[in-house]
Amino acid sequence: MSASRHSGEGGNPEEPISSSPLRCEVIQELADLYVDGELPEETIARVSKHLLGCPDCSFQIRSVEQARGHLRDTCGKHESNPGFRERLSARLHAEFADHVTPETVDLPGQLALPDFRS
Amino acid sequence: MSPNGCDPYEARLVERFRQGDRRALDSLFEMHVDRVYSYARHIVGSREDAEEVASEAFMKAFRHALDFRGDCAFRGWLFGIARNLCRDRLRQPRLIVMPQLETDQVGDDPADRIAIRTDVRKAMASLPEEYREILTLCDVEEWDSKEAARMIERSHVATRSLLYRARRALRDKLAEQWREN
Repeated sequence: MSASRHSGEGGNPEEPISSSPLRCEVIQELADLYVDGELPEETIARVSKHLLGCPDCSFQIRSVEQARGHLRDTCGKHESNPGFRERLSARLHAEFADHVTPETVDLPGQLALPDFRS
Repeated sequence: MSPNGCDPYEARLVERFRQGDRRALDSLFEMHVDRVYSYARHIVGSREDAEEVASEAFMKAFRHALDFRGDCAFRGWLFGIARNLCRDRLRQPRLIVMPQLETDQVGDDPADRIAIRTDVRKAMASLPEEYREILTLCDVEEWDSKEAARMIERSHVATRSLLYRARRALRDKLAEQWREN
């Protein structure tokens, strides 16, 4: 399989690429997958090797990483207000009061809820 | 997570909810409330609008869970509904509040950091809606690109391509702004 299979922007992380040296055009197409850690290990190693010897590709990848870092720092995740969660939870209980039982019932195979907030 | 996007644990909770178990409703709610709210907040901008979107999305998703028993993807319904509600709100001019208009709560951050954040908001606001959405999902909310693909109803390859273009558009817009300063 040749490296030219990565013809589309963004590439396909599931397609392996050949073991020949990577060209700059291929690196550009793999850049985002590399940044996101969505490449196979052997491809990551080959991209890293190319970057060590190619200032232009290194700059391109670093600039994408920096823009993403600035975006994350600027926007961040929003956590909902506890008061809002309580109000909405109460509204859902009222809305589905005819359907759900006020008292919990133990059903076969019931699972404990992991802590998704940690 | 199965290949069709159904989480077996979530599917079990949906089934328990259908059987009338209130704890299952609570669990599904707690699993997703912050993520739905955060997604909506990034898209519609204001806290009030994001809370309304999240509330309506949960109401509709739970009703959907009772009415349609064909599949198990509660999260898919929930976020699909939230996405449509956000789009509806963005089409109402009076409700548009772009993130760059919000007050920066950076406290004692250095001035250059505040300036960068202002520039990033300005750059984001100038991008097409589909770019803002994919950047919000993948680079702010840190969704896996396959999960984002299901959300925006595109193939994985098309989603990666969209993300590729969006990141470069943001980078180029920032570079353009910083060249001007």
